[in-house]
Amino acid sequence: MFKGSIPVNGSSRIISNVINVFTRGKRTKATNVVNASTQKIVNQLSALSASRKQPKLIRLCQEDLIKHQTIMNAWRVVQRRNEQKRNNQLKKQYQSIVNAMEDLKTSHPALYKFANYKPKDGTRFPLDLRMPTDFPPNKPWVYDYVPAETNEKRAKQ
Amino acid sequence: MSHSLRNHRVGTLIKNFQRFESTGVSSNPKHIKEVWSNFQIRPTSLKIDNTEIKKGIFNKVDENRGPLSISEVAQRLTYHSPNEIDETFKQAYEILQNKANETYTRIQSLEKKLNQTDNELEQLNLKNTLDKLKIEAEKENPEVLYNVNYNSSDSLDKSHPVYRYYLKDKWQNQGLMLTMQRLETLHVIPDTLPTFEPSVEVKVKFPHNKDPEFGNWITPGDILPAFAVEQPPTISIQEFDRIDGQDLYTIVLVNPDTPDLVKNSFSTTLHYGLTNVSLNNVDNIIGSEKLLENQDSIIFKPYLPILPEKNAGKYQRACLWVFKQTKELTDLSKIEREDFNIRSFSKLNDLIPVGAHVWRQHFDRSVPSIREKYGLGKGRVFHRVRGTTPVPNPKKDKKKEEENPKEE
Repeated sequence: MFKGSIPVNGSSRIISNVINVFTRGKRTKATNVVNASTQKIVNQLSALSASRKQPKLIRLCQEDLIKHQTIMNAWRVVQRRNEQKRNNQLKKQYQSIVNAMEDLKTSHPALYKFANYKPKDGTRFPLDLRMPTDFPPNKPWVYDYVPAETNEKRAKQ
Repeated sequence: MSHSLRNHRVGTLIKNFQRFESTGVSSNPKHIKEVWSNFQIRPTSLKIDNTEIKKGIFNKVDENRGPLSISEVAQRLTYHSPNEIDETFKQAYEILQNKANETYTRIQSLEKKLNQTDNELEQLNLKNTLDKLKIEAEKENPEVLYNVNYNSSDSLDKSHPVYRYYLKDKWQNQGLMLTMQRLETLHVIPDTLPTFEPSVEVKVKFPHNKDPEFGNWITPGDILPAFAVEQPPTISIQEFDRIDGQDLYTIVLVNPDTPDLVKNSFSTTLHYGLTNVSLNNVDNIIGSEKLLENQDSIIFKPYLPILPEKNAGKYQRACLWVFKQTKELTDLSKIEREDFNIRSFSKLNDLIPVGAHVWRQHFDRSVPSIREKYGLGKGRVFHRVRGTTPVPNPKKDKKKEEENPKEE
């Protein structure tokens, strides 16, 4: 029948990572601490049977399996190159901003100071506001939150 | 996943490929082009031999006939390839081949450099990098992938680093683990040698057997009948690293379960000894041909099958050890078969253990006839329950008897 079989990569890779982290043995809190999100996946996986955790088999003939493998290889190459390109671009952008600011520092110190000025009157978008996401945060509310401004005021008093 | 959605996904995949194609690859006139179909600078062993299968991969699988790799007719006729797999494959092939083209341009420049230098260290470094580059250039070649996945490992060209790379991978994932598990559970380690780091794949078969159960490569730990091991084995020693020239190996077959009545224990016996066997990546099988050609130079102890006597333990282990030599060895023929000490033997001759194999044997009905063939006599029959006290040495008693014969 279909002799060859290639595991589908995506989800199985995540599972294998988690399995690497999860080790059964003597429990010592200091060494066996995983973060909350990993623990969540570990708990979910422990409820699944072993056969479900196996990577899915692709039932194709040998010729098509080789084609599939080649396409996956090429896709990996393309993704890696795109990522590399993006990273290079970002690096260049960052460097050019750094250069421009350095230039400004020497040529026009007043302008440099003005460019780095942070108004504290609340007209700017507050940076400590949480980004809107699909799911609630792991730590939903910070009860003892004190804004930076009042902190300074208290220090003055 | 619904059909339309799947089609859409395939479409975006192709678009992404096209976008990459338009920007990513530079066409340098100096570069080698279409290297994977160029067999002037590459060996033909990187090709798929079966032209029909090759057609199925590089052109479309024939809709009316179905893929050739499926042997069952009904299954073959109902087979459908995934949508647009051939179009996507063509683009993927081009991307990977362009990458290989660049690697081969580097390979060619390095080969030029290699021809120009006389420094040995530099030559070695260059050869190592060349091997790495060749693996990188051919690893993703679909023809190589096909050969590795669906051809038998015996038919692969071991002189090319990419095949050795894949064979090593295969061995490390199965053969190596199996061998080590058998060596440890059967206590070959540490009963013969303390431990070792395997670097070669050792396979053993007894080709005089017509029954495929005993005639094929045997699995480590198998229990074999005496008739199956009557003639000397064929041993395959696969090195995965490149060997320049030839390497020398010593191979010994020992039985650590020979009953020692005087000590009420067991001793080790040497059953087969080969030395100064020169092998390389391709010429890696010690078969009857090689043995006949240089009989006197490599055999230091001729083959004697392990023929356990009746009730001499549950089974006896045949431990085959492969050593790499650091120098050429001489004068090993003086070594005695009985009370062979493999640890001191390897230490004395500076031997490095690189591979091992094990099988088991016990008394069966073919033992007496084979003992007769090798002139070993009838063989003792032990009591079924092993005694707790040592038995006095029968040879010494005989001598005493000769000195003062009993009066009758």
